[in-house]
Amino acid sequence: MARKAGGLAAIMSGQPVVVVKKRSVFWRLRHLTRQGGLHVGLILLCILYVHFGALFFMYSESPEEQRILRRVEKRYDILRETFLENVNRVKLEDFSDERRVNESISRLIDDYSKHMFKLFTNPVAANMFDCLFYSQSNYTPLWTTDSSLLFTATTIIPVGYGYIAPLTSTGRIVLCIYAAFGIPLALVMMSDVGKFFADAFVKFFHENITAFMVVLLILLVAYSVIGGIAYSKIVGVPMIEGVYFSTITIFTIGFGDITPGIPVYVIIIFIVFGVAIVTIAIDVVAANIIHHIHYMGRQVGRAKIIADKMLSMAQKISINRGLGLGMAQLGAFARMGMMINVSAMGPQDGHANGGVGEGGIEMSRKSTWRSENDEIKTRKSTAFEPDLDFDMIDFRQPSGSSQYLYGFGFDNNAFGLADGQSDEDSVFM
Amino acid sequence: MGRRHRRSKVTRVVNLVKKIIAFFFSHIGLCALVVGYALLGAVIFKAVEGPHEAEIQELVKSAREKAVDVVWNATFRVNRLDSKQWKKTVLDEVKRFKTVCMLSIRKGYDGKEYGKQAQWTFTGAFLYSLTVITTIGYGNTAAKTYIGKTLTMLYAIIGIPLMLLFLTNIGDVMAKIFRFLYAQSIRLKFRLILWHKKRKAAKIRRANSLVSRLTRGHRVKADSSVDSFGLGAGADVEDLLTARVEMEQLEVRETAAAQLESMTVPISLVVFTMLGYLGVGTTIFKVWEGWTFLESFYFCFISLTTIGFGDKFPSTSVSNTDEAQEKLVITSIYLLFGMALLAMCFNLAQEEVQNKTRWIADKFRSKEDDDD
Repeated sequence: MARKAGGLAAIMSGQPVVVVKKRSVFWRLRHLTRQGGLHVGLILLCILYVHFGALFFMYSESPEEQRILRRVEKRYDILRETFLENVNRVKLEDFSDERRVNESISRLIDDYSKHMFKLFTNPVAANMFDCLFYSQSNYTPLWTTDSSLLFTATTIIPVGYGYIAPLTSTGRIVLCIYAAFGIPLALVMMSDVGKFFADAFVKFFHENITAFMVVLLILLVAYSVIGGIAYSKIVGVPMIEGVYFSTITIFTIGFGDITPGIPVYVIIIFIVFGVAIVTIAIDVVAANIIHHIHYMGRQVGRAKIIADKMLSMAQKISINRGLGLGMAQLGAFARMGMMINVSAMGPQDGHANGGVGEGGIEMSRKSTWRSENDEIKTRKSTAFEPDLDFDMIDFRQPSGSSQYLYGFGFDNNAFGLADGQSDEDSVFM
Repeated sequence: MGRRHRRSKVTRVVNLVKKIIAFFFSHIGLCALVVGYALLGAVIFKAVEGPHEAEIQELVKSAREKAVDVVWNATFRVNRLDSKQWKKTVLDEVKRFKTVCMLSIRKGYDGKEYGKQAQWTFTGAFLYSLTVITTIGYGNTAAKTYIGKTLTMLYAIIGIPLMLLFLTNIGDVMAKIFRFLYAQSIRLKFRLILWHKKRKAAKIRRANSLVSRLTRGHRVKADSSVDSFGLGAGADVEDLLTARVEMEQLEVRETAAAQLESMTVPISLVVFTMLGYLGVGTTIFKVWEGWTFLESFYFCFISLTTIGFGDKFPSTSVSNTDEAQEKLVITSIYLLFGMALLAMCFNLAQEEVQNKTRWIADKFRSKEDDDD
């Protein structure tokens, strides 16, 4: 207790604390096991989630598929017999008038094709037609073990090919719930994997961010092209189709217009690593470039002062890195997870800067609330406070390297400590 | 003094105007950039894929005319055919026609009437561009030519980061507006509580005055030690009540200040907002497409989470009528705004999750120190 209080006092006073402590190998091993167990456990949880989902959807949707198949076959036979009878009737009735006969046959074929296309809108019927006309073989079910597994994996990533989709009400309700919980889980897992590799790369390049960005772009393009080439070799389609398929997949667009002929586990692993690479690349490279272009030349003095304070605080926190390691690990974990969740719709870097701005805004708000006379000004200034977030991005650029030096969690850690001092309990909530 | 005060006010007004301009310019510029990029994509994809679609439709039309001719000839021209061979000839020709249709479907044919309806109208291409850069990717409409596929890849590589940046900024702005409104509602709530407690304090004070007056009248009658003791007891009780009420007011102010400083919106409110938006979309598509409630909700959910199976899609939108085109535009706006709302919800929810995780991390660190 005393030691803990001492640590907090040192952090508050801003003095560096040198942690010189020899720990046993047993302790170190247990520490690594605890940290590694968290990551491995998360991956295993994702794998189990995908497999159980696949089992559920397969057993839920297969009976419906069989029922629809029987109905479609019956309707198809009726359609064909009706067409033949109608043509025969035209033959008997309108033998003399050639133009009229031609019109009748034309109308019959139009009706026939219209009904066929109406059948085709049903995925089970479409699959049956595919089996008849392409494979010349018996019917292959939509919901097999492999297809169910690919379905659940591409739901939570969320690629969403749409090769198969639930048709029953139960399947659709469960799918909404399944996706609502599965997508954050999958994105957290992939961000964790991505963070691991990103840290390794940063160390490998001796904290040279520019080289890291270049290598990341090359890796992204190479991954997409090599995946496309491999796909085209295996399936036997033109290379442009393969590269198109792999690009559309790892960007999680997933049109589903090209059917994969690859084992399911291979394609799932390809998707997981591909999406992780795309996420890191978008976060590190594209967001920085676009932010730089977007906010070039804009400055606000107040934002500069706040940014300088943030930088000083970040430097102090970095000096005390050892103390906050565990906290930073978990903070970065959660922030990366939630950021990547938003990163499907927004880059993490923007949020990191937003976090910095948020702390600054809280300080300014606190000062303005103290004065009674500035009530009107307070309301006006709060209306325009979002502006400050984007102004400070220019001043956060120099600290980008320090961000990668010590991981993604320390900005969060700084404000975490600051927020920890305030009492968050509420009597009325 | 007056002149300096006036100059300071003028400077403040000028800075305010600058901030306003910067605010609107940055966000409006970004929105315009995203919309412009989608419109550019619409123009490109319509130019590239439109002719291909017309070509496929022409192919199917030719196959259909050929099928009609063969069936007519088999039925009327060759009289020597017997019934069994006639049936075989007709079915073979119809099967050939179906094969051409199936191949055309793989190349993008959708069974619509020839020349009257098309997937690649301007608004259809716009929705396609939007589903590319938002990574929804329904797949009902997809590029079929090599040029179209290559352009889709390039378009996605540039557009997806742009869309993520747009959603981040708009999500931040919406999150701050949401947080501001929430703070205002909290402030109003605590103001009501304070007013209520002040009224209670005034009531107590009035009661104390009445008691004091009665006690004073009583003391005039008889002046003895027993009465003096009673008066003292009453005074003590009055002071205690007044102090307690004032303490309560102080507690309320401190609680309000603490909550406003933390500025976290509860997750339940965020979830409720998102479900409300899904409900609105469900109602719209239910009315338009004749889907059931579950089907509409399913479509909205699958779209906003960017899964985008494409098994449910506004099918009546793919035509050239003005009403259908209008529906397509509204669908696009719904998706774009829904994405931003989702980004806002995640932005608000992540703070709550970070706070909880920080608490867990503190516990872990305490345990770790104990292990040392």
